[in-house]
Amino acid sequence: MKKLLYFHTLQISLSILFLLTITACKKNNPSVIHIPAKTLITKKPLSTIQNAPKVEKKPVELLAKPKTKKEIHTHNAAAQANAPKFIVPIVIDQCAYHYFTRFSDYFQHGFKRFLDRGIVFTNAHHPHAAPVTATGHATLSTGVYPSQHGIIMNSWYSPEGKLVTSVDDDREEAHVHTIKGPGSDKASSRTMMTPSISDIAIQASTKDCSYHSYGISFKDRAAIGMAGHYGKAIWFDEHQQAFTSNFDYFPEKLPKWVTDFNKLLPNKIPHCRQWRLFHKLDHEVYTHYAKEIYHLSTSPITIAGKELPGGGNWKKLKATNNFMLAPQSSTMLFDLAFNCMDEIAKGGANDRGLVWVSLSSLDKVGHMYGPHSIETIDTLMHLDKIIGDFINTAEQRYGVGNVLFMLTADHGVSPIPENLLEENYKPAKRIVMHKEVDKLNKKIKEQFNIDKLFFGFKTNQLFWNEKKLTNISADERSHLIYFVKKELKKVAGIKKIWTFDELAAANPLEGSIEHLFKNQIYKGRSGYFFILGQPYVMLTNFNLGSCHRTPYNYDTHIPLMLLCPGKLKQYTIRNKVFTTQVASTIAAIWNITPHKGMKGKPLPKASCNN
Amino acid sequence: MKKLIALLFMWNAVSATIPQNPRVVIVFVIDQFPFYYLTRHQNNFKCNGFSRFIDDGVFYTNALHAHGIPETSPGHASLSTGVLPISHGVASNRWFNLENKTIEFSHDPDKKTAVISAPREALGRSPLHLDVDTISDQMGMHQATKHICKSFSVGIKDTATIATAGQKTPAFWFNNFEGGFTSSHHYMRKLPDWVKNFNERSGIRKLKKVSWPLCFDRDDAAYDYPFINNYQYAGYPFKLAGRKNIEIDWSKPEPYDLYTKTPAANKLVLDFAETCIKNVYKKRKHEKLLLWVCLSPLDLVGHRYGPDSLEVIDFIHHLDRQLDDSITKIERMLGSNNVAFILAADHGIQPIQEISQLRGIKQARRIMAKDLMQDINTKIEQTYSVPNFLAKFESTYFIYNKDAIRELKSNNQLDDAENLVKELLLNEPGIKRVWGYNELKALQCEPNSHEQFYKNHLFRGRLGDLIVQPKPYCLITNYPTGCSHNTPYKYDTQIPLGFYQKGISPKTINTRVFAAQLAPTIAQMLNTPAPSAALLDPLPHLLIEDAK
Repeated sequence: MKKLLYFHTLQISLSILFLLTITACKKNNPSVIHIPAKTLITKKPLSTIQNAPKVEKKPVELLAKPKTKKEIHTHNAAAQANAPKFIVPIVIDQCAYHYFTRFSDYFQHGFKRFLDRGIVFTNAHHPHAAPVTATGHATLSTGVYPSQHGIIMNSWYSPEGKLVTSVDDDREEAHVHTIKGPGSDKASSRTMMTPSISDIAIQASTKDCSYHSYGISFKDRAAIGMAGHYGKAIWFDEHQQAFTSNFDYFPEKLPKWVTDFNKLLPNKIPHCRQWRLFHKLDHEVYTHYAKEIYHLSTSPITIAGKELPGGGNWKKLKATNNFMLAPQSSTMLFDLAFNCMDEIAKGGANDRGLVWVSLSSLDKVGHMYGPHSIETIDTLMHLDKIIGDFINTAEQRYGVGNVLFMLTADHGVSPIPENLLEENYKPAKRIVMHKEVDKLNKKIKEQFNIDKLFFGFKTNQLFWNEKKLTNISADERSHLIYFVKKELKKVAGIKKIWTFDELAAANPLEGSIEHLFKNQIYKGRSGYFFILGQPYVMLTNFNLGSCHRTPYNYDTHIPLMLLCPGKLKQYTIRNKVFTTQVASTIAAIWNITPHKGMKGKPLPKASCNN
Repeated sequence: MKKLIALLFMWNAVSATIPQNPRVVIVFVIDQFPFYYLTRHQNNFKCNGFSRFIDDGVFYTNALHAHGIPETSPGHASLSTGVLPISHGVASNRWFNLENKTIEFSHDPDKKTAVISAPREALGRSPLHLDVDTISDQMGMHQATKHICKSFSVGIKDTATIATAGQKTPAFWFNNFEGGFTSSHHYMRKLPDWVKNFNERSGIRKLKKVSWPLCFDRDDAAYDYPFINNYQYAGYPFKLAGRKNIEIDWSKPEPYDLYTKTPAANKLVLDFAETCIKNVYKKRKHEKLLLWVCLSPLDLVGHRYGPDSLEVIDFIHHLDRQLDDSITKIERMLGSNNVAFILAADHGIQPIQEISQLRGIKQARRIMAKDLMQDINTKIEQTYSVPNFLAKFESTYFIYNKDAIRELKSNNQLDDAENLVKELLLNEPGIKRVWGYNELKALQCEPNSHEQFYKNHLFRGRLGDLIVQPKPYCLITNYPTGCSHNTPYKYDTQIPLGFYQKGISPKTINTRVFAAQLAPTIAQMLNTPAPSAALLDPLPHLLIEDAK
């Protein structure tokens, strides 16, 4: 305890010394005071200045001259001018945090830049129980829980039992653009119930400073989740083998930089189909880490380092989509992102661009081969380089400090349970849910004489046909619920079952598993039974491969890093943060007022204003 | 000048953090070590074992186990999994199956999990009942050829070591029949050579007697406490501390019974831990090691003699000295910069009720579960003519007789009978509250209240039918002597939690933290994934934002 006191005294004395040094500096070297003067020049309209929060006097500023009102204004404007022109969140689909604890020594390019120079959040989590692609992207961009933004899963059953995806829409405007007018495919942001940060930024545009936002991905649900309603989502249409968007985003036609890019695709795609290993095959990152578990993968053959089967005719569906599996395909998205950023840069000098890029190839190989496969490891090595190249080029083109890069993910991934079992982790298990649903339907037919009560199982929820229950009494209904729960709990590995009503009425502790489940309920979209398995128990409809449907850390814990050299200081932050804080962080960096629903505080230390 | 300013900033930012990420983390989990032992004996410590953590390390003065029935297995499991009994499933040391037969946490009927070289033991040992993975499991899953993450758990009790080790990483515990350390076939086919060698070289198997010398002179200020000689209330009516010839009696089924209750046994575990490090840690480039050292002998002593006895007080000073020696040795072995030490405990202890009364705490009382059950059962039989309604008492809960339930249910009298039992229990002056299982489940309460602590144990089939909260310093028990730790009060739940690594900036932290935060903290220190169910933040002010 004595030492503690000593430390305090030391700290105080050093602080005094520090203050003295500053005063000395200021006396000797008057230019120090004028440093802020360089940033005084501003072209901000008065309106934005007035909207900005007032700066309160802090004791730290005792040494500075008392500020006049005008100076306070210019200070704020300076802070705004200090904010980067571009913010580029890079969302790597299925990039679990455990990849960074495992492979960080082997990252030499982009990931290393983030780890060494950025603000690294080592404990960032998605706040919902079933982290999947659409949900993760929507949570990142809206800053609210799925129970508010409504994208609770990738797809769900409608009350009639029809499978609905998160981007389903039957309106005319939802059709995609093709060269020959509206295409057959449809996707829109209609199911997103709250504004995204893109929407808020674009609404905050003024005459002199307009905001632009784009979401670029191979997957429609990812692009739309990021762009929201007013931002522009651009995704890859598998039928026409080209990047496209719908008539909501572009009522007339696709912008020229997209169509120009599409013209290059026939040359680029075959190039991607060549999967070259990043290192030589005997490099230690493969020999030490990769497990050969192809008997547990959905595809029994390895594709890393091979030419992906595509046949001669690349226009044929299915065969051609294979190119997306190869890590090289991600360069295409970044090339498109450059086109997009160039377009924004051509606009007003004060314009700002929020360009979301979501990389899907890791997700595709992760599902097939699991997190321990050579495919996954090599994809990470490639992504490291591709992202590194992107950062370097972007800094060259737009200036260091003008682009804020963010690296995060929409969800993690679980190891293949059979592999864990082979390695002596006994509780690991795969429960094939469509078989359980069939069994359950049969038993309910016997016991209650209700035929085909359950539509099926999606993500972590069981959907039933509410209409078949209209005739039964409340007592019978509760008996039925009890029966279903009892039957499901007989399956080893299932830990807990909630009904929709139970979760809706529950008042769980903040951060508990029940809370994660409650964050995911949405009337009309959720199923009736929510199932929690034990850790490493996989509830799925597939017999092989890997997935991510649990509230456990391997699925929810994701990397979150911010990089903006010169504007963001380097930190490692180990306290728990949530992905709902990302949207409000973007709002804070650009000094936009977030909407009232965004409860997440801006991420600690992620501010360009100091 | 700018450099100086920058340096000052850096210095400010990194204060109170771990100097660099350690590669070896050693966790000393002292079984039954309440926080008040430190405040009570701190002035008498003559070695640097505990004061390393208190004065030279980051020390948490308000660390709690957030469950209402703090016991060995739930406590260890909470430390290693980062979740509460409601999630990790170890609701208690033991529970009852549908036929009211006892199930011990670590027992496994599967023959494949038999204890190595213990033919007399019918039941195997495995983490069968541990529902979630531990931090050690995560390290095991994280392991790769070049990325060596090892974890071991060593100790006296099988329950403690299995609860900290989990599924994948080996646990070694004391073989009560033959002496030495053993494990089960769940973890390995046969014992590694270094374990066999240790068992032979330590001479434990040929030991005839052991002595317990006092740490200091008998008239030292360290022993100057009232009630240190009240052997009439102790589980063992004889003195153990200071005895020279404590025999290992081979005629008894468990010959090492008394041996495991001496500081010598504690020393043996620490020696074994050092041997383990020496043999498994090869100081390769990316090699990481997490070692759980479960020091259980104090628990075995404490239950018999109570926290006020000479035995426990002397034991604490022995611990102080042994920890000091052990830490110094390990630091010398591994290079002091790489290794971090953690001090934790699985639960506290309540003073012997009779001694509390002598001390002037009038409400203190020992409630004999047997008498209580007899009274209640007679009254229930008189009213409802159902015999033996309460079948068993364990920890702090009662189990109903299944036949009686069936009979009462058929007569629609179960609710009335239950209410009568509750009424009768609440008539007992030492009992504060009584809940049925479902009642407790439906109870709405403040977070971190005592009720919530009880709710954190809710696990169908592993908690009793009727859960009882005694008043402070009261205990419902099956034993007429000795003491226990089954309440949500601070003497049972508050534990010391300290971190020490060479170069750490000393800090005392008074905010409330929870034992379940330890596992996520270790994960951050070793840069491995946290246990998959762990949801809490890492401990505050230990790993604060560090500027690079």
